[in-house]
Amino acid sequence: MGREDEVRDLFDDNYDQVVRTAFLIVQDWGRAEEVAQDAFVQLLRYWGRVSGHEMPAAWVRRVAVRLAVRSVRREQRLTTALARSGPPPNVADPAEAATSADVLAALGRLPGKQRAAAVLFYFEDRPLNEIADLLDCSTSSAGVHLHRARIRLGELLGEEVVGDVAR
Amino acid sequence: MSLDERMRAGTRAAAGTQPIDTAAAWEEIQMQAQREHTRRTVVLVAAAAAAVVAGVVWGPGIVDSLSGSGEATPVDQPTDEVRVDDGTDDVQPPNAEAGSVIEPGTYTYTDGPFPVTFTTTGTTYDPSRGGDPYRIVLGDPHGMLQMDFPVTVADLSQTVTPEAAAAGDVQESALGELFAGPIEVPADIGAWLEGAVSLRVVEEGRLGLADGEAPWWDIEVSDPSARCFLDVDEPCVFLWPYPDDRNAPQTRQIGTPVFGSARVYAIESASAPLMVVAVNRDVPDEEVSGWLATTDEIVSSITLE
Repeated sequence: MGREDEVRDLFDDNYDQVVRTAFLIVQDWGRAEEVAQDAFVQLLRYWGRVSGHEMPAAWVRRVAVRLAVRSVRREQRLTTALARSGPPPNVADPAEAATSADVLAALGRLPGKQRAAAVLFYFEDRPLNEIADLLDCSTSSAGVHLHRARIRLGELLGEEVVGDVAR
Repeated sequence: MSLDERMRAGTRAAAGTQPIDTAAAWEEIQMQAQREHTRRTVVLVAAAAAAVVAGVVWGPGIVDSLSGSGEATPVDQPTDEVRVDDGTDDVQPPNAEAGSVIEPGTYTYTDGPFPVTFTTTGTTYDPSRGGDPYRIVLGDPHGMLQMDFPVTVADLSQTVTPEAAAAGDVQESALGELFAGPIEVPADIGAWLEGAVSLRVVEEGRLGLADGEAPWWDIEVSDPSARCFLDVDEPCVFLWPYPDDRNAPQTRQIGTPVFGSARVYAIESASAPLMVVAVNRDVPDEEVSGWLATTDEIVSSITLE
């Protein structure tokens, strides 16, 4: 199996999820696809080395998350949080759409790393050590990002924050 | 519904139903990979050609350094042996000593791409900010390179503590170590940055100063795998290749590492024709302007030999 075939297999297994995670972070489907594609371009370029990793899929996800966080930082300098929330997501049920729009808008008010930590925790069900790995920080730092994200999300959504999931 | 339940349901509803065209995406990825490969090859060939024009014989090491992916070790061998990185080879990180801070003193580099003498001094930037130490690298490679635009370069990188990292974006406004010194930089910095390997220009603008304006460029490392130092696992590219004196311990590194992203300013100065400063992006303009207000003293202290 050649390099492109091996990367293609990994792409087939992971691309969809990488795009959806990136979307929740950057809050724009077009940019999410760009982020995911940039990550896979890097994977293709460095496959000779990354293929030796225990989990090449984790490598491309890490690259994608970092690119997404960087994209958010750029965006935050240019636009207001409200403008960033963008159009409602593509969901059929009006009640569900309202819920997801609120959640998206609240996520959009968070700084990049807090936003990524929340997305990885809530959407991908990642434990703290994996969130830390994807964000390239210590577990305690990831815990701080997630803790602050939950406090802020609770304020924005008018929900009580129960327990400390970061511990 | 609790916050956690609401967030789980909301994120799944928001991201879970959008159709994604994976076939088109795969085609785009293949095209991008091909374009990147072509671009890197062209730039590296151009860099090798420029070295020949400058009368400098550079080997594979320096070409790797231009790509931001290898050890910058000038070697005495024909330029036709210059290797063009095809993007598939494993990246060899620089020597572990490469990250050493330059100690105060005078050093002569004789086995670099050009002979050069640097004088370094230790001083304190601004005690009111906590007195972070920094060192200035001085020297005069211009005559030897017969450059018609002597240049002074400074890099303001940052020191990030675990506590600062944990606090979110605090590190973005921290000012840490400073390296400065004359290094060859083209007069058209914008065009030069656009052509730099493993770096991309994402934004540009102008900073208002008391006596004029300074153009700036936001750059970021476009290769997440690039590393400058063995012991720092962050995307990093050397903005400038650097001379490397193997016989001078603790003086391994003269160059400008860009970790992730940086802002580069081109500044006209009364005591030096041009000054380029790279700082971490997102530092407030007023903080940069304040820092630049002190650069006259820094620049005037440089004596070209």
